[in-house]
Amino acid sequence: MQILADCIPRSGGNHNPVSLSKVLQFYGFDTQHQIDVLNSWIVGNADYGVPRYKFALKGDALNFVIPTTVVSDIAKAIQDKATPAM
Amino acid sequence: MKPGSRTTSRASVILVVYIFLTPFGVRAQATKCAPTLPQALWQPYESPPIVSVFISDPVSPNQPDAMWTVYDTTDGTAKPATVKEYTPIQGSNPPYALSAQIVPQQPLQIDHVYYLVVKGLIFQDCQGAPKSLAPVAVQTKRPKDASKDFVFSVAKGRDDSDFYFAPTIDGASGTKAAYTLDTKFQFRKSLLPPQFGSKVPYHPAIYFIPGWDVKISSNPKEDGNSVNFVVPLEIIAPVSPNKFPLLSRFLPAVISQPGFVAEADKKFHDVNAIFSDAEYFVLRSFGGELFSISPEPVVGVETGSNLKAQSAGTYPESILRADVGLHLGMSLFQAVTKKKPLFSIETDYMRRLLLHPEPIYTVNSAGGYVLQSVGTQPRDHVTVKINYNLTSYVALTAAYEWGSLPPVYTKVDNKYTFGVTLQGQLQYRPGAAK
Repeated sequence: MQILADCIPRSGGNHNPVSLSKVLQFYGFDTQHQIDVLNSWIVGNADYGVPRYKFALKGDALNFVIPTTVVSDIAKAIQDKATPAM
Repeated sequence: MKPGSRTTSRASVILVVYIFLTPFGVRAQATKCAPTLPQALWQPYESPPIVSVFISDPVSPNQPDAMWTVYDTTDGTAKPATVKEYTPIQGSNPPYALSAQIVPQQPLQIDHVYYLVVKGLIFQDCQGAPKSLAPVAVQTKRPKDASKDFVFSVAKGRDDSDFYFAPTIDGASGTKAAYTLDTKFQFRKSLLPPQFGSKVPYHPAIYFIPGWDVKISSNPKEDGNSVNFVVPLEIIAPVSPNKFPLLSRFLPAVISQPGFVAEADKKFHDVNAIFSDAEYFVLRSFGGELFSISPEPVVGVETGSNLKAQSAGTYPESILRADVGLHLGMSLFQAVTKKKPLFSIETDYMRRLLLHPEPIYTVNSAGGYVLQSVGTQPRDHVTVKINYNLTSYVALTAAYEWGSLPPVYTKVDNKYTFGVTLQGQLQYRPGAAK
């Protein structure tokens, strides 16, 4: 949850409070390229993404995300797919 | 203008305004918030062992009246559970939480089926929330090899689909049937995951996205659209906030799409082999809780040669184009629910500046191409797509197209499309069911 709350505004989204029931469009992610940037932050940013918590996500782990994806589906994917970093 | 016609016009305007504003007012007020517990996961390695549960809407980290219960459906018992904490989102003001850490009285057993129930949870921004939420099943083990699961979901439309297949047959009395195939496929594979931030070496994300994008038709009145077979890479270069703090605030990333493209007309009479590279400047969206606007300028270059020409002498030199364009996305939300946009508009504009001459064709009534000219005039192409969500599942769509596309550049002159869309989201998760 903290990962999404940190990465959504920093990767180009707006500062609306993060809610799991809303779609990414509500946070200003209208294009697939914006989604790609959000995924990059979640997967690769050492300060706010998954690596901050000593976990790792594969580069394809969030390929399913589109602007109409509900935030809770991303949270579930992070929780299900993240593995401890080596 | 006659007085009667003026009254009629005014009534029409009022009717249109009423239809489009109703969702903001009447419908929005009638819609109630429906919070859920999207996921609960047993985490035995924590100390003490906890059930980590997601809460769909923000709650205060202080919940004195909330009562959590763990139901064991295997042995039919129900036991109250204590709360370790409602994990507050760091930096939130006022503080809010989207998850809770629940401590069951006894450790959960992985061969039992558990449900978690809560009563009395108070939500911060959720009118009419029920006093108790629907139970959520507790995952006692992670899905087996979850990282390899494919998840299929219904896309918004053709543009954000990874696969799309739409064959159609049009027929009318006294005319031949026309066959149209509209198909698209792309596959996305990560070649290099991104890495950036403090104390780590920077490298961008690199994806390999091969595919095709084809629309061919035997109908002479169909547009002479491009047929593209693409072998592109996508390089996502986030602007590091550590190195460029000011720039990263409004330009979070630059995305490059180099690739080889085989572009052809629908009859494959004109075929070009092109190397293209487009640089997309992904800007921060702006707006608030009711709307957002996302601009995305693009510049690019296309170079290559003609492999097969419709008419001799139409490509006196190699193909060399400089491209400039803009993608603009806008979403407008309902006042209360804000879950799905009421309106969404997507606009794409691309201007191809030809540095070497290329042909322009028109289509005659028989469907054949007629050479109009050869030159370096700029070639523009514009599309606008509007999506108006009547309900969560039904939307009105409208699209507009103008301009021309390579290689034959036949002009699409103010083409309008209207439709009603029934849409949903279906996700296939093999691991989640285990």
